[in-house]
Amino acid sequence: MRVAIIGAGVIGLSTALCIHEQYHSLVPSLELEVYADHYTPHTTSDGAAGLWQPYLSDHGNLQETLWNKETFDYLLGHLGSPAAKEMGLFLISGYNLFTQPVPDPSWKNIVLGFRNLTPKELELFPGYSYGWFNTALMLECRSYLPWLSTRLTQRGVKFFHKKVESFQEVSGDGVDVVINCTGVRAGELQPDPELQPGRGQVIKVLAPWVKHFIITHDISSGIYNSPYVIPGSEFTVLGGIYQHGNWSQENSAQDHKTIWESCCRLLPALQKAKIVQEWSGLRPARPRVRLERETVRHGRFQAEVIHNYGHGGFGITIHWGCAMAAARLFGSILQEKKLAGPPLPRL
Amino acid sequence: MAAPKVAVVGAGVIGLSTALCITETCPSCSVTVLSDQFSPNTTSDVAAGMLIPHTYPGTPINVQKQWFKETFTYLFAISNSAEASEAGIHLVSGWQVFKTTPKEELPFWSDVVLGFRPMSEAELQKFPQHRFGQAFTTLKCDCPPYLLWLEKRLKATGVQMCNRKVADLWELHSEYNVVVNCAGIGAHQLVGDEKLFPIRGQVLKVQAPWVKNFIRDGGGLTYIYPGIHRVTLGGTREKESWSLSPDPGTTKDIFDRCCSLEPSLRGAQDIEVKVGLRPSRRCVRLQREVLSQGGVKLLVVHNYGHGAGGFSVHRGTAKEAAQLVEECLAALQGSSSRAKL
Repeated sequence: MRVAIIGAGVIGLSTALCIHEQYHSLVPSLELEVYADHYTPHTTSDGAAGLWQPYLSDHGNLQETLWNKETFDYLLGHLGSPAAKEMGLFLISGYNLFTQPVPDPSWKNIVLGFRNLTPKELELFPGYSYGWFNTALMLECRSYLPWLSTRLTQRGVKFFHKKVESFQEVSGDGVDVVINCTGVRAGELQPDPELQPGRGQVIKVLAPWVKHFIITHDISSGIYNSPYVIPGSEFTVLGGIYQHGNWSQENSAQDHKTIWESCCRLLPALQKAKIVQEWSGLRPARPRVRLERETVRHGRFQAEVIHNYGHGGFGITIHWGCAMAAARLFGSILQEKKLAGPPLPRL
Repeated sequence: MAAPKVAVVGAGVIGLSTALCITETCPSCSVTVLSDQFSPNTTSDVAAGMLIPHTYPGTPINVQKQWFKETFTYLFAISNSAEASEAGIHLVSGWQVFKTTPKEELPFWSDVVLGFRPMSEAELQKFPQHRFGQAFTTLKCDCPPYLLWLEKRLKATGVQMCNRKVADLWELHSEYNVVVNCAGIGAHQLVGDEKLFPIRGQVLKVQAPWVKNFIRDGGGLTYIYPGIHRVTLGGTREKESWSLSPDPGTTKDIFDRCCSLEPSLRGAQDIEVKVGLRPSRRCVRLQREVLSQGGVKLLVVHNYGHGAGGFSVHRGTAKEAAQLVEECLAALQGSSSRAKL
């Protein structure tokens, strides 16, 4: 049985791995193929700093909160393993800053050691009067995606460098299931007015003395439109741009200025940091993640499509929960085709 | 009196910070730092420079707390300025974990560091061999950067640095009005202080840039302190050992102990081994002394014996030492005025 996964960002690769892990022994003929026009380090996932942190509010989307938790717990379990370094996975502590008190987030009990900031800590951040401290995880895609690719290759998954223009193109000929992990450009395969680019720009600097993430929030300007500083294993990412509907992937001088000035104001020590790279990318923004099955028909052609896209600025944060959910959908497809027994218990 | 001349013996964190405080309290003083070792070859360069105080059995707790608070406040301001990276000062958060519940639940310094609180059950799960823990945020002074930054500031105010081994304080009496003894472990020989003894510490400095949090086993023997470029893994506490040679068996033991606290350290690269002798004493010797020899007096201020806690209290003791220098100079002024009459 052949399954085509379109997209090789964090969503595509993790979904492929999850499906293979759960079903390859049940379905001996299972063959997975990944199709993508961009592979690491050129995916949207590669541009992200890699901090596990959901948005402040889950907008009543309990499903997504559970997927976030699943992802965190899964990653936490891998922390002590020898694979952690290769995966680009490590613990990191840091600050979320606000100009006024806000309710605790849905993820306060998922992360470690969540607490409010003390007055003395707030002295570090003039202009901010309220905040949180917690320990979370970093998952750097420039390591994680290669790690996933290696695991997939070891399992016999094949990779194709190709821009897929339609579901038909990769299905038929024994491919009964297509997993659609195309991120911000999912609309090219099937129109989706709810999916919009959330353009971001980041400056990567050398600032190895920064050991904490610092995320500021400006309720009026919206998520990610307020400076943030996220130290990685090699570079520190400075950001704070979110432009809804902007498809440009060119670095903007104005955005550079905004990021640089606001981050240096936040952390004066950054003034001495050396700028190494600038990058802009498009968050696949959607009111909610599209994670569902669809039978796609076009004339004689028919395929089961599992959509898994629209993870906005929290793709890394939610990826494993979504991969598991997509795998469950896959399991139900197998059951219908009587190719497998009842779904496996959750790994 | 013409511009008073002050000699500071020792160029580790104590000597340099004391010299700096003296220039601040006595701008008219001419200060010279004399040492046979400068960064990166001082004891301070071996230390991680974490602001986690050591408790001196012979010093009142309120004094230690005051020293620590002063040091913390001073460094906190630098960490939050554009100079932070040059000075090597940065905030770091982490955990102190205990295998058995400590008898003292709240250390005296818990309200000086930031965000001090007990660890949650979820946090403790990362340390299966430990039953209790404390989480907090503190500061780290990376060396050599911090010492080099101090040297730069000293030179900017006209302080001379002299590479010279002082074998006897009396060597300096004709050139200087006051001698400040910040010789650290060197004071054992320099002033014959039998109460001062080395506690040998071996550490590994490794490349593991994904380690962003510190971890310290409550006993203080095993620790992981992430610095700007390297992570310091420790350690040992070998009383009365004067050996400065790294011991390979110890290296493996430190590495294993640290890896059991933080398994990802197995992937650490480029391991450098260093040894330092903590200048240990029941209490820091921070006092004036008037030495006499054949009718000649030598005014001395001692500031040594900080053991494992040098970085944690350096600014506080430096300020107190500078005060004592002021008192010496005032006494000299007084006696020279009397001499004029």
